[in-house]
Amino acid sequence: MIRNGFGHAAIILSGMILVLLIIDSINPAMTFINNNITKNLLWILCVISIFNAVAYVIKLKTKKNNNMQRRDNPPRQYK
Amino acid sequence: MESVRRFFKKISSSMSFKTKQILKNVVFDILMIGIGLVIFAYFHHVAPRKAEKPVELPKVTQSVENNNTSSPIESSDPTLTPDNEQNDKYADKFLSEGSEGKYTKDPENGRYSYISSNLNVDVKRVQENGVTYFVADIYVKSIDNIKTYLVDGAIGQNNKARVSEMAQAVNAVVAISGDYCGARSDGIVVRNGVMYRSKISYDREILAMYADGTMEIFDPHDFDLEAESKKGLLQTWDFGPGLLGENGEALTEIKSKIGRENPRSAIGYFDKNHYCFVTVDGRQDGYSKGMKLTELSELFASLGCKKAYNLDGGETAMMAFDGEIISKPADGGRRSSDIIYVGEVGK
Repeated sequence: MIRNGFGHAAIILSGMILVLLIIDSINPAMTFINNNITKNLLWILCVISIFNAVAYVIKLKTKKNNNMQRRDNPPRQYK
Repeated sequence: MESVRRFFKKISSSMSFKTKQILKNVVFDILMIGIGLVIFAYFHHVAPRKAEKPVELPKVTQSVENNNTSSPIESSDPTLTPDNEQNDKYADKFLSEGSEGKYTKDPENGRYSYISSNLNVDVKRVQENGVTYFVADIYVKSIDNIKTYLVDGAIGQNNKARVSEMAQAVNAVVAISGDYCGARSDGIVVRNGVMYRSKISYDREILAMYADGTMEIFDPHDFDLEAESKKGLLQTWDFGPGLLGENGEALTEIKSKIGRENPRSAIGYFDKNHYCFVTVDGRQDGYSKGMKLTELSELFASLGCKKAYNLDGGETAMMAFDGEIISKPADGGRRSSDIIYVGEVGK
């Protein structure tokens, strides 16, 4: 549930920052990027991205371990 | 309406459960991006920001250069001494002392002028190469005649007014939109000798105007507020870029993301007590397409300015004469936070 939420948060924040980057390139005088709000959004995006990446790596590791375990101890076949 | 509902029902029934879930998530994320941007826009444009307490900078009657002394003369008298030598140079530009100021307006031919014992303003509209622009040639007797006005005397996203309203509030003879400092949270703001914001933006060049009537353009990294205020800093603008080279020559290349054809507002400096305002109309097919920054640079070089500085353009750019907008702002123009104006002292 939390991982799912963080995933959505990363997509939403990335989408927002992409939009801000585009409008900032059109009108840089409005400082859509170089302001405290956007800087805070970038901080949050970085933290969320690290969390998502760590969670993904852990998930991959667990999956790999489970696969190895299953290979070493195959389930008993019933006839 | 019924047919639309049936259409969506048909599409929905033809989709697998997984596709429906993905689509639901995509729609949710896009919706949340939209909501996020609306919240961002509220805090970026509307919500009031914490403002710094305005600080009055030390008053300096004349600069070091004018007095040939090692330190500036400080004075508690807020009235600045006019540069006599400079006034003699332009004496023929003004009416005799005590004469009543006289307006002349010819909107059809785009000519506006004002002459008094302290001011000489001549505005002309020029139409060439698909561009319409206004040039105000300005002679002032004292630096007190060229000032700035901030809406409500403070910087804030909500402190905005139309240029005509601001010009009327201060009885401006001629006024142009400034750098719209209220739209940003950084960039040094000194107006009429009072510092409203000290946070320097290192992305933009700074234009400074001094009590002796001179103007300087700074790379933000070289700007030292303390040193400049000792020289009699009266005004700063934070937008730019500067439009001319070291010797007043036109620049063939200007690194800026806003370099393409746009409506423009800019200020030029010829000499102490001699300035010009330029407003370029734009984004209006068949009337005026606007100017590139390099074209604006060429214009200032052809006028003979020593220094020129670009201010906020686009919908902000406009010029008012005797309280009325004489330029044709793009999309009707927008309200902004400040103007630069020329007017009689004490009126």
